[in-house]
Amino acid sequence: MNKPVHFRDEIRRSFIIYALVPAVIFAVILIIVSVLIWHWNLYCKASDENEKITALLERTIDAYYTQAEQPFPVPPASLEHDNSAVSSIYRLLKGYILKQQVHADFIILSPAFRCILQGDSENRFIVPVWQNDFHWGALGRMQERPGRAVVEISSDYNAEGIPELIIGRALSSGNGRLDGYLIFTVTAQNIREAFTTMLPFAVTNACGVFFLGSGLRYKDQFDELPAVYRRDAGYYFTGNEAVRHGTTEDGLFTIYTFADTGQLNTTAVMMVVLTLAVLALMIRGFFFSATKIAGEKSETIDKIVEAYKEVEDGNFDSRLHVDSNIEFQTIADAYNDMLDNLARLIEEKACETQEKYIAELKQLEMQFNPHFMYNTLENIKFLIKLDPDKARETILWLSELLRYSINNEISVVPVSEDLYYMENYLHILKMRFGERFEYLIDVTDSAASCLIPKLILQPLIGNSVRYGFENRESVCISITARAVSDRLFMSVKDNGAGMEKEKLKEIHSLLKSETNRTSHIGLYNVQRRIRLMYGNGYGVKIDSVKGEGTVARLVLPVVRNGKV
Amino acid sequence: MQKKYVFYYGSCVLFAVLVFWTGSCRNVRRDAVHSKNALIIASPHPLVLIIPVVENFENETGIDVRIIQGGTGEIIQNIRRYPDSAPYDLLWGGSYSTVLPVASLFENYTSTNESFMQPVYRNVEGSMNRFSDIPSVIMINRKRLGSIPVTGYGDLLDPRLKGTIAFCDPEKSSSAWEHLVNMLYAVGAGNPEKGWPYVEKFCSNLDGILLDGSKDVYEGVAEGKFTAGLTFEEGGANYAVHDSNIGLVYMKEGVVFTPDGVYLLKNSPHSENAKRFIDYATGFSVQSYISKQMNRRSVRTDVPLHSLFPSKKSLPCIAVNYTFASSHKDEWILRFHEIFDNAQKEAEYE
Repeated sequence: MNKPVHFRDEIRRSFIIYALVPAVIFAVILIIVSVLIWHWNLYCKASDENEKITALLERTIDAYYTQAEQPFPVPPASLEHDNSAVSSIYRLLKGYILKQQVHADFIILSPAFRCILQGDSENRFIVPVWQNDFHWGALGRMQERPGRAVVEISSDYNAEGIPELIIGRALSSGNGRLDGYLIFTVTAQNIREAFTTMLPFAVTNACGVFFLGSGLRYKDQFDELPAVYRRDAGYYFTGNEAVRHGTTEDGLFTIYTFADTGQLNTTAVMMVVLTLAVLALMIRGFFFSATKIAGEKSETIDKIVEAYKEVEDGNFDSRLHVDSNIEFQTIADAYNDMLDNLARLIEEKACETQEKYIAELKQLEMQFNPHFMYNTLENIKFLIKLDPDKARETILWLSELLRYSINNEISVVPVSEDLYYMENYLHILKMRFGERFEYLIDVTDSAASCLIPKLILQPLIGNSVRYGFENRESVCISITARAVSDRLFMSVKDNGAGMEKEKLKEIHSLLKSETNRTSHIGLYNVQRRIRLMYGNGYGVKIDSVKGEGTVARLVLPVVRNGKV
Repeated sequence: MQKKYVFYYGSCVLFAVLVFWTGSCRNVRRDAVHSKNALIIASPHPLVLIIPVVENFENETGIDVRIIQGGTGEIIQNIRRYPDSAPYDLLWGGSYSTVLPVASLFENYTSTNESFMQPVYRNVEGSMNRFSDIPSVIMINRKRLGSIPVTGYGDLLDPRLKGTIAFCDPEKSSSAWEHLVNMLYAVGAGNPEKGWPYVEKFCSNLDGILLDGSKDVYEGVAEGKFTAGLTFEEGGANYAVHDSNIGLVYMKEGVVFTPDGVYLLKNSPHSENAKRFIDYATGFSVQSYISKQMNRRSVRTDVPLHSLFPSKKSLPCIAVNYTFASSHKDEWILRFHEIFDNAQKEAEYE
C-alpha cells in the first residue's frame, strides 16, 4: 500500500476497471443467458414432443383397454357357426378400431387358443403350440385373471419375435367358465403411422424393453433401451443428447425424447470462443488506449512535477508551459508567477547583501587613527618653529596621505601605489621618531603590480609603532610583498616589544570571530576587510615573541587589473 | 476499494453460476436399474433364451431386469474382483462343474420348487439351484457324413473324418471341457487316467483344428463346414428341430449329464428380486417353456421331455466325480494342450 502510486497508473487502472470489467461481465451474462434461452427452447421442444407421444399412447391404450373391458355382446362360441354374430362383432370391432387414431388389429380365440375370428386376413398373431400346456406370457396372464384386461408389450405372438402391444381379456361367462379371448394387437408400425415427430424418440415398457423409436441405436442386444439413456430424472443429458423422459399414466410406457445438444454445444463453444476473441481484442485495445489516454491526461502533471524538480535542483529560470485545460493553466500561471516573485526576491536579497558589504567596507576603510593625526599635527607645530621647510614637507605628506585615504572612489590599488602612500606615512613617523625608527621595504616586481585593498597595511604599521616602542629605544619595521603563484604574501615585521602569549591568543581568537568587541579595531578591521572582499580563505595572521618582535602576515589573492 | 469488492463478488457469483450450470449438465449418472425394483442378471445363456424369459418375468412382476451377457468364466472373474459389493444379483447359467469350485461366492437359497426337482438335481449344496440338464452330444451333419457310422467317441477316430471334427479348446469353452471329462470317464470306463490314450488318437484325428467357442462348433456343423461336432444337447437341438440333416448322437461309451443352475450372489443388491427370479426360473412355466421352446431338458419331474430327445433312462448315463474333475481341471487342460500340440508336430513330421 505504501508503494508509490503514479497518477498515470491510477488513471489507467480506473479506465480498465470501469470500462473493461463491465464489458467482460456483460459478455459472460450474454453468453449464459443465450445458452440458457437456447436450452429452455430445447427443453420445451423435447417436452412438447414427449407429451405428444405420451398423450397418443395414453389415448390408444385407454381406447383399446376400454373396449376390451366392455361386455362381449354374443357368446364367443356362437361365432363359429353364426354368420350374423360374426358380422355384428366384426362391424363393432372394426368400426371401433377405425375410429381410433392408432389402428389395432384384433383376434378372437377359443378357450383352447384356436383362432375364431380375426380382423385382418393378414393377421400375424401366432399362438405358441404349447400355450395350452402351461401358463406363459400375456395369454397366460389373461387366462389367470379372466374378465380383466391385460395390457403388455410382448414379442411372443408373432413369428419374427417383434415386440407389440397386446391388450386383451379372457372372456368369461357368469359361471366362471372361459369362453375365449379377445385380443387387440398394436404394432410399433401402427403407432408410428399415427403421428409425426420432429425429434428422435424411443418408447419402452416400464422395464426398459424397446418398443418403438427412431433408430437402432436406441435398442441394445437385449432389445432394451441402452442403460446410458435410462435415468430417473425427467430431463438429463447423455453425451450429446438431452433426454426428456415421461411415462404414460398407467406406467406401461416410458417415452424418451432426444434432442441433439451437439449443435448447441458447438454453437456455445463457438460463441464463447468468438466472445473471448473479441474480448481479447477489446482488452488489447483497452490496454493500449488506456495507456495512451493515461499518458495524455497525465502529461501536464508530469510537466508540473518536472518543473518542481528543476526548482528543487536550483534552476529558477524554467517556466511551465501548459496548453491543456483551464485548471492546469491556472496552476501553471500561479507557478510561473511564484517563480518570478521568487527570482525577484532572491535578486533583491543579493543586492541588499552586496550593498551591506559595500557599506561595511567603506566604513572599515575610513577608520584612520586620530592619535596619528594629533601626533603629526603636534610635530608639525614644533617643526614650523624649528624647521619650516620640513614642516611644509610633512604637511605635504600628510595632505597627500589624507587625500588618498578620503578618496572614496578607489578601494583597491596596486601594491606599489599603496606603498607610495605608506612611505608618506612612514616618513611622517620617521620625522617624529628620528633615529629611533627605521623601516625597510622589500617588494618584488611581480608583487608590486598586484591589487590590494587600499591602506590595508596602514593599521599594521600603526600597531607596530604603537606597541613596538614599549620598553624599547628603537624599532625597525620591514615590509615585504611576494607573489607566489595565485597568492600574494605580505608581511609587516618589527623588532619591537612583542607580546605576551595570552595577548597573542586573545588576538588569534579575535581574528577568527566575525564581530569585534575589543579595542583592537585596526587589526580586526584588516581581517574583516580581507574576508569580506576575498572570502575566508584569506586573511591576516599575527605571530609574536615577547621581547623579540611581532610579525603580521597577510595572505591575499593575486589580483591584477581586476582579474584574479 | 469498495468498488473492487463489488467486482470480485460479481465475478465469484458469475463463476458459481457457470460451475452450477455446467455441473448440472454433467449430472451424476444414475441408472434406472439402481432403483429398488430392479434385478441385475449375469448370464452366459444365448439371447434367444434370455430375452423371452426375462421379458415374461418383467411382465409378470414389474421388476426391471438388466442383463449382462458373458462367458461363465468371465462373469466369475468379475464377481471375484468385487468381493464386498456384488456387481450382479444372479448368475443364471454356468454348468455345475464350473460353478462348484467357486460355490463360496454364492449365497445359500433353495427355491420353492425344490420338491419338484429330479432327486439327483436337488440343491444339496445349498447355493446351487439347478436350471436345466445338459448332456454332451455329438452333432452330425448327415449329408456330409454319408455312410460313415458315428455312434460314439470310438467312431470319431475314423480316418475318413480326419480334419472334419469340430471341437473347441476346453480352456475356452465349457462344453468342450464337459466333453473332455465325458470322454475320459466314458472311454476310461470310470477311470479318467485310462481315457488319455483315446484323447491322443482323437487329437491326431482333429488334424490341428481347434475352435475358439462352442458357437463355432454347432454353427460349423450346421453350415456343413464340419461333419461332426462335440457340443451340448441344446446347441445341436436348435438346428436338429428344424433341419433333418442335423442329427444328435448320444455316445454309446457313455453320456455325462451336467446340470446348469441359477445362483444367488453373496451381498446381492436386490436379493429379494433375485430369489423371486430363481423361483420363477425353476417354476413350471419357465421349465416347460425351455423344454418346449428352447430345446432344453428340464430339471423338474413334472415337465415333459422334448419330443426330439431320448429319455435319460434309454441312454448310457455315466456319473462323474465332479470334485475330482474340477480339482484336476488345470492339469487336464494342460495335458490336453500338450497332446494336441504333439499330434500336430507329428503330423508335420510325417
